Amino acid sequence: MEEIKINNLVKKYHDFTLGPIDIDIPKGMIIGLIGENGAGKTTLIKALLNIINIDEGTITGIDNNDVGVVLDDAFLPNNLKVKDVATIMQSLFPNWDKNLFKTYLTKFKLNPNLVLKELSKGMHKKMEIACSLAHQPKILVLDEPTSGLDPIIRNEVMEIFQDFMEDENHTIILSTHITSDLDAIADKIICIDNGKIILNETKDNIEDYGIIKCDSKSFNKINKEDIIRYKQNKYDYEILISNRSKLNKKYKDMVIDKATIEDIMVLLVKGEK
Amino acid sequence: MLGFIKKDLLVSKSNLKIYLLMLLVYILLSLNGDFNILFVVPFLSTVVVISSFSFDEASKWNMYAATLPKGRKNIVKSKYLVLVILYFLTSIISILLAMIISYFTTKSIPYLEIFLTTLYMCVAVFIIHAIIFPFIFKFGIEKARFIIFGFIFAFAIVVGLITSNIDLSFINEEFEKINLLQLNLIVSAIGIISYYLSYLISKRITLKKEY
Repeated sequence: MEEIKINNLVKKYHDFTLGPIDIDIPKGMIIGLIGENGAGKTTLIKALLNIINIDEGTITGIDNNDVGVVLDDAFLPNNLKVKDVATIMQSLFPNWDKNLFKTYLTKFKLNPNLVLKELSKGMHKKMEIACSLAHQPKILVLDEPTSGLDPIIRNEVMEIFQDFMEDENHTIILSTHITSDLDAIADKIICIDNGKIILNETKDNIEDYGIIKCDSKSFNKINKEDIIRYKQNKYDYEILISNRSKLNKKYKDMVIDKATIEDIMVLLVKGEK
Repeated sequence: MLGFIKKDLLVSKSNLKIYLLMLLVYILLSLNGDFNILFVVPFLSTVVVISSFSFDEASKWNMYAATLPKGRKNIVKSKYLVLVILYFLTSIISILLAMIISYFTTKSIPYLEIFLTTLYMCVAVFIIHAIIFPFIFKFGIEKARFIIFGFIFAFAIVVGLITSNIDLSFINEEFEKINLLQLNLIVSAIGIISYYLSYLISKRITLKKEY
């Protein structure tokens, strides 16, 4: 399996354009896709999975046979029972692992006799996650897989994803609003805003991003070239910088906190340059 | 492919009680002589298939299916096959019921009539679906529903006008002149070809469709 390459991808709608997008996704990585609602995350995932046609560019390295998916709101008809889902999936995927699926059902406390429409949103999501994993894919493409899940189950799901990544040929592309999930597991973060990539960094580089909270006097002391984005609040400034280790020495009198993925996303999208 | 067919059959299973009730009503009405069971029972297959489109649409199944290996092709192929499977199943049931009813009511079983009615019904059903399926794949069941209703309405008016205004007895006379076997073969071929062409059109629509 080659790495996934997205070259110059463009998808145009009458009121929105995604791209041009260029991303290389090496195998063995968990890619976190973040951004506001309507930024283009789902459109990018749909393009990756061939759900929509792209207007320009190419996507290589994704084979439908090797992909497990969790889509935001698309699955089997909800009048089916959980056990029916297993029967159907078994015929859809040659690699379907019946026992693995049963293990997930037990782990997620999913009763095989329940009808899908009787499941809560979180339970339904768990069902979809179990299906995406049970056919032993090499790539997982997950659109908001943890939405509706409580923190304990989210944690369990993240652990399952980490187990999946024990095989270094595996890849996960995961879009989410819950950026704290990514803090723990993502190897690379891609932030999309208004159809364009505004951040494409490895976790190591992200670790070096920092936040300075200061008054206007200190703000004026900071070299503008060191500032990626800043936000002026009522009483202070929030400043996003990308080379914390270096700037810690440069601005010794200021406190530079480690920036969370959420801090980075909010300041990149809402901050000023 | 098998998974797609299983999905439609399992989805229908949840409405099995309703379908069995419909079957019972049809049988009772046929015993009364109000309905020809050969006409009505096979229409159950239509109800089942059209309902399965509604279930698919409500759960955005086609979007999920598009991500599966050969997913788009199988979305179409399975629907066309499920109708064939269910149609033949309901036809067998209706023939058996017709024979039983005929035995108990008239004591003579008109085998040829049963066979011909079944054949022509079959061709009619497949031609009707050959027309409506591409609309469903193009516009989705909710929008296509109006087109289907329009189509059935127009069809009923045309048939109504023809049967009430034109003396059709000449058809029977003409029928007696032609070789029955040849005619049946031609009619069957028309049914099969139109259904296959419709499949090709639906496949083309679905391969390009965005979900």
